[in-house]
Amino acid sequence: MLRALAAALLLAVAPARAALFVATSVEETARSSDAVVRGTVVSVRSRLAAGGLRVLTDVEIAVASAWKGAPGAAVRVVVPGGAAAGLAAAVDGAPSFEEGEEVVVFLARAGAAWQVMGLALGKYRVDGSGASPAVHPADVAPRALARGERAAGPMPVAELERRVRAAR
Amino acid sequence: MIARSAAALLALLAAGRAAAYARTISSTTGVALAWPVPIVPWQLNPEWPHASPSCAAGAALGAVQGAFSEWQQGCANLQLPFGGDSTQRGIGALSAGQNVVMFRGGWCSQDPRVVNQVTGAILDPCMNDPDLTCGDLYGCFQDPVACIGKTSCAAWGVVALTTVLHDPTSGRILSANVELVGWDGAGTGNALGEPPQHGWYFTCYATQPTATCLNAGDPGCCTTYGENGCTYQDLQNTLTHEAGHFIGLAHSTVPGATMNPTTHPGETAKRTLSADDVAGVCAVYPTASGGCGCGGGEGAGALSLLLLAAAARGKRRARGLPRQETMRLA
Repeated sequence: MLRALAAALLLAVAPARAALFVATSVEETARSSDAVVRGTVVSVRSRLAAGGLRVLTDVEIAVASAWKGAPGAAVRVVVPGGAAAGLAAAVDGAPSFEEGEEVVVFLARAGAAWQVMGLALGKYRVDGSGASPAVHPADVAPRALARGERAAGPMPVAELERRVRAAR
Repeated sequence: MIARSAAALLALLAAGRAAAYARTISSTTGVALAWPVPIVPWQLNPEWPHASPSCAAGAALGAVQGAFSEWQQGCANLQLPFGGDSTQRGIGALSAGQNVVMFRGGWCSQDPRVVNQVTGAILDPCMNDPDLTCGDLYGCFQDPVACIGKTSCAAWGVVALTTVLHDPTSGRILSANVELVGWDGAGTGNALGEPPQHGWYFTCYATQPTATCLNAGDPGCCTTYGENGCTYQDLQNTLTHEAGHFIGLAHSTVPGATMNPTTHPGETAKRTLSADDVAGVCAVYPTASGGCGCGGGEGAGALSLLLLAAAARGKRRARGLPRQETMRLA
């Protein structure tokens, strides 16, 4: 009740985040993740976090194939930001999703749900034969990566899959 | 003085053409963000028990002050004075009314109060519940459970985050908070990996002790946690960039600009604004109009603060936190 009252009267007080990232490789992100899946976004619903004023978004993804792990036929991914109950949170550096979007996501377990590993660096949009991460390459500071590994960035989806499956 | 004025003039001229600086936009309305008043005090949470030797108390404050003062340009109607110390550790809606720079002590997955570092057992549900955050409670930076027990994790690529609380209808900024992912104090003598297992190793020299550290591994760069007389992630360099977000600027694509997100260990160039950065601050806060012209009454802001305080009290009760904990949340 208190939360709903506060949210309604606040009208939309929205945090916007800006990030300063240092690059990670596709392989490193895959190694860090519990699962990596390719699938289609079925639904996107924002809500207020339990007991607080943070806005979170639940993203349901129908899994077409699991490149790492066995997360099941569908996953619920929780990402920061969104708009709910008159409260909006824009989180720069966090991935955003659209219904019907084909994606590859690097996932970390979070209780019964999942989170995206590495924020925007852990979500790729699939467009035809290509895949692009949810962050502009200019927003990622380069650094030396392990030999043979490739920094997160636009690449053929087939190469992305090969690199994820080969990551050890 | 003349040089700065000339730079400002050039910057304004550049702003009249196709400026490369960018402003932070509210995702729900598309409105650009700006402070509605020309004087915006910021506070510092000085709790940083594991700062590197060069960042001992006074040096860190000097670096932070230097970062904010750099944005006070002659062509801009904006002052960013130091508003004193703060004990605040929370961010987001619960932090409305304060603008705090705070140091996170490493990653929550590596914090022994949150995760048993021997068995990997989670000691506080905040680590495994996406609705909660351990960062506000323990002063660590929230990372996924998947990072527990690892020596390298993709989530550790974040150096700093600035959260800007605003009204998306008017674009008025209500508060802003800067989190810096600092050292957690563990692993003294261990190699500084990237991404760093124990947080980023910030250094705070007014004048760099060496000019040879241009990339990790170069001579003059720190190689281990706790090392002194070397440079690594320059605090003032990082914070000058974050202070740009604090005032409502987004990333710039101009190479060498403070608001360009590319950085490397040892970099200090972002301490000084480029013409592009000056164009940005002067366009958002022009001296002639005396502010951003965002509109909106202060009464709405005051009401929001009261409600946020009420909601914060409700959250504390919901979590069953003792009174001492609630003080840290406020």
